[in-house]
Amino acid sequence: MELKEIADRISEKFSTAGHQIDRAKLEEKINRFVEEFSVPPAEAERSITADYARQFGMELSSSAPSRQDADTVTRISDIQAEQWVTVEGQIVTLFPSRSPSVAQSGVISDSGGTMRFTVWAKANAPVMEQGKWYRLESAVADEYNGQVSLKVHSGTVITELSPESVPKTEITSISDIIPKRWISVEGEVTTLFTPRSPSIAQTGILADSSGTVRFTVWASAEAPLLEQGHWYHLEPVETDEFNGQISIKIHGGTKIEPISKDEIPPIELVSIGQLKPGVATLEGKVVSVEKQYSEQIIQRGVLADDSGAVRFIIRNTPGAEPLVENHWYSITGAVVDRFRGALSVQVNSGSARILEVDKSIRPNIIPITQAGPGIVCLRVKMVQEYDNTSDRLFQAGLLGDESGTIRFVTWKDENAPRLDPDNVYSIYYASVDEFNSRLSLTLNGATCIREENVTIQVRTSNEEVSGALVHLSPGSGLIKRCPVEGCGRVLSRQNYCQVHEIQPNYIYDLRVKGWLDTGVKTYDTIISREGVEELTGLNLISAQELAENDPLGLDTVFYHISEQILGRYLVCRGRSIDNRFFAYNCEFKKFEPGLHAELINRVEGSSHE
Amino acid sequence: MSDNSVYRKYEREPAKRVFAAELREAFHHFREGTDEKSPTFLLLPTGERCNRVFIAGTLTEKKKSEGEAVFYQVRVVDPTGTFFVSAGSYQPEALHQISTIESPAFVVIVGKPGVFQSPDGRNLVSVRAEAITAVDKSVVDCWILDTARLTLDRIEKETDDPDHQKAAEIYQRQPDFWRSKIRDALSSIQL
Repeated sequence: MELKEIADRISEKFSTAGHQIDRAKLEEKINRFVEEFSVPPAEAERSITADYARQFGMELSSSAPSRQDADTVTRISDIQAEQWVTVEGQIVTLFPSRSPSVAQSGVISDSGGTMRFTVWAKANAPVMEQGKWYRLESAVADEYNGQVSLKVHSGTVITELSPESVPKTEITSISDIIPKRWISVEGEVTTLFTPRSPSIAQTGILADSSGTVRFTVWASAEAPLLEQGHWYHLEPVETDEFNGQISIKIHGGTKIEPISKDEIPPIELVSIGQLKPGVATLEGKVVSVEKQYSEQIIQRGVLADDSGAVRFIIRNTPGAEPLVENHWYSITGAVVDRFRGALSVQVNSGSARILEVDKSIRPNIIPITQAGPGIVCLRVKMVQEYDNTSDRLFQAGLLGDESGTIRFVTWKDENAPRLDPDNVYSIYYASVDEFNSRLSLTLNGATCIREENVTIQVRTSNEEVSGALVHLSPGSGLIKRCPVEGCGRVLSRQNYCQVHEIQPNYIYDLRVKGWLDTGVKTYDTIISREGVEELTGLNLISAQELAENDPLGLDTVFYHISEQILGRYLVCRGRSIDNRFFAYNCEFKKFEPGLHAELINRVEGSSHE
Repeated sequence: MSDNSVYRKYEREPAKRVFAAELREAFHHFREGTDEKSPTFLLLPTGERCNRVFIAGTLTEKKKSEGEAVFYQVRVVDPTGTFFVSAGSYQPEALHQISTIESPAFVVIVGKPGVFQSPDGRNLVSVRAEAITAVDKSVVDCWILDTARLTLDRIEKETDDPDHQKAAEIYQRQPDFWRSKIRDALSSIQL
């Protein structure tokens, strides 16, 4: 039987090392893993072996080195430690030698990867030059501190590759850059940042039509200064990644060649709906311009075509001129940026050409739930007007359509449109902003047209959400509310209400704030007292008792609830208001044998098609 | 406005359900946008991005780091393979929760996936736990159904979504490969 064999193998392994294991205990352990917790036998064996090894302080051996045929060229990315390999690559960097026993050290790169190398002085190898390609036959890959590197010793044969066998330089599109490579790129310096360290000469953003990437020029590179708005050919640059952000590094060995205006790679025309960060050529109609400008900015506004709309900005640079409203323009080499989720197009001076057309645009009206940061067109009903809370505010409220609702604001300006509750409006080219992870629509600059004889059924009906509670936020559990009538705000620890100050006669309440996650969407959820009671069996009185009889006080209720519902599947009923789901009826989801059978059919069914 | 991916990213990213067999093969990670706070994503082989995952299984091994900072590494197995999960001092809640769980135990975990290079150059996907909870077997079974359904949705989705295309290019796995993993997972449930 398999479990017996596992037990045999484990006890043999340790008895040869002089450790005796209690056989009965071992078998029970294996049984527990495999039978009770359905762990695959191999994994159980691995876990239990590792566990005993730790107990006895033993190191488990790893596999032995392998030797490779000298004729096969190994791709650098495939090299593993403890291997003899033959590689062909370009010397992209040389480091100054720190020890007399090292003749040369640096980085070698092929099309798929890079690796550090060291040439021992004893190897008597020919001197390699930066930028040239070489074949290293029978070098040794070894590992130090988790890094694999190549060692060139006296048995290694070094030959320079003939020009025809050197792979041609390929320009990598910025969106295709992969970290830890040496590549060639071409792009426009669209932004320069102030370097934060004296070891950095310049840092900024390089863009091509496929995307953008952060670049750094090391001070040690002693490179000519790059200029904003100019295109460059950079060869080779090192690619890197930090926190998931890709960047490129320009070293001493990097060739920097400016690209003249005529040589800039052609940038294909894209529709506004398809824009992404990078450098783009587009055609659009100026559908609105803002009234307020500053010294740095000549104009802001909105450009649109049939596919969508986008904000544009023209900075005050020599030769820059504003665009004329309601005219079509062709804009070449515009820099597309994303800020707080919304795209914006920077129109460079001299890049906009007026088009002698007057195509009308059919604005692309979308449901509210599809709206995201940027410029949108909606058809909505004014659901509710909010109290005005600021001198600068003209109107605020809630708009809705069949898909959902969104807040809106209109700031005071001479053309600010006022919306009347219960009327339906078509809103063209309003901007959506994200604030505190909530969307808000700003109507300034937008065109709002009242639609007669149109009704919209705004979606506010009951919803059922079935998902996992993946996060429980502070402010869950037993809370205190302000007793002032019509207030009910949650009090801080010092019983302080934001509006009514200290309130010693607070009212207790139970609730859960958290994220209910379906795997497709995350609901910012508040479960009311009724829902909490259904899930946890606690009620206001038992929760208060719990808090009063525990040194942790209110926190104990939080932990108590967390233990019961965090990570569990819940079915909650309630309603969505303003991106938040209020649930008042909740239960734990049960295993559904019917769904199980259905999924088995689904997985079998279509695999034979 | 037809570029839905731009808008999709605005919402809080859901915790994707993914089996160990799929997560371990993921290695392509990227950042949307260039500003420092943009979220990072891992592209799943079945063609969706994730920056948070919800996973479940049996905790089979727990290792506490010997160094000064407290750090746990745990292995969690589901019917298709093994998840590597860690929690350090930046995840105080998860750290506390892990310390109270002994192997073996059924657990669910919410966390952020990351790709690391092992010394031999292979990619290792590890999940940094934000929360880990010991649960009943029935919760793990619910998760298996949920994950089977959502993984099927991903492979059956007919779309020209750029994430989908990119995943097809990078990972080159046929849908039938994932179907067999889903089948393994579903058949592990004994009624």
